[in-house]
Amino acid sequence: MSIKNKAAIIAVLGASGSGKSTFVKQYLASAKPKRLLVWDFMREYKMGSDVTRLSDLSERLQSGAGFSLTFRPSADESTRAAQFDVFCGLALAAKNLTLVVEELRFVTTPSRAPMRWAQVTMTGRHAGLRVIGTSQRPASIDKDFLGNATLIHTGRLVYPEDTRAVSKAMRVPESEIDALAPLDWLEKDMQSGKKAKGRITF
Amino acid sequence: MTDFNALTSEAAAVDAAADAQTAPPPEAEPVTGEAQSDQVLSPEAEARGVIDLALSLAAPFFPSLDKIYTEETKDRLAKSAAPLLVKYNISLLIAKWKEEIEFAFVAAPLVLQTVRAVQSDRAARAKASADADKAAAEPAVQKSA
Repeated sequence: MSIKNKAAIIAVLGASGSGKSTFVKQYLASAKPKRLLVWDFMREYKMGSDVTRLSDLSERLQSGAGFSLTFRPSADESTRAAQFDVFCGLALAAKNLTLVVEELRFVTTPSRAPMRWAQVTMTGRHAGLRVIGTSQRPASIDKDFLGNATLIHTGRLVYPEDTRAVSKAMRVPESEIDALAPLDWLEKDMQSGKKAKGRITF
Repeated sequence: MTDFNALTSEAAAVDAAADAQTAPPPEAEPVTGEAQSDQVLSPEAEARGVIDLALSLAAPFFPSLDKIYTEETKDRLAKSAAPLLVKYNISLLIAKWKEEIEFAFVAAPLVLQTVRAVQSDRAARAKASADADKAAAEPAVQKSA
């Protein structure tokens, strides 16, 4: 079994064009979760049903045993922040699902995480949540998420502060991350310490 | 643990806010010095910054743009552009080229003023030269008459 199939919290990091979305989509195609919920700020996921209202999302989550739902949040920053908190609450209430949050930079900062997102990352495992969070600027996202990740997968990074943040979270030398070519990836199981390297193929 | 019943009214309230979205964006506190270089801008703020920059550079050349790009128009444009800035990593360019952008802000109006001043000086010199030629020609005409 691949290490990513056991992880409960997966951080998928890398600069734009490094293959984050491709990795997540390939992972989902392989894992085939019966209950999938996606926070799709970037409008990159075309799987299952698109939902733009939380009330509809709540109904859908309660109505079926299996689902594949993609929530498209507002472009307005304050509205999106409120949506994200409730979205995380609904994921916790639904239990036993795979949750994908695309680009954490727009809903968290290094020093601030919405309360229910913190619950997702800290106690979601007990509710049967498998969480996948992505970011192209890991130095600008919730530090606790990286700290709680059971698997960190990173592609090429552009900014030194991002390399430093990921190096620290993964406990690998910065040079190992700097050496990544476009579409190369490095991942580490944070529980076993096992590392793997590869290259995204399409 | 959170349950659906507790979230129902909250979800409806957030949906209503999303539907309305009438509240103007909050005014950002001015940031200076070290804090400015460390600041993480939201994509909307970055998009708005690019729009403001482009318009401020173009305004001296095309004053009519102010009538087209009202504050409301610029806000709407920034909100819709934000996901694209992220998708194509343009937001990173703003941080990367911060010094160049600030230089352009200062230099562009100066360049315009310089061009206009040079044109004005040249026109004045040409007029003075023409006047002198005309003055020199007049006595000759009178003599020949």
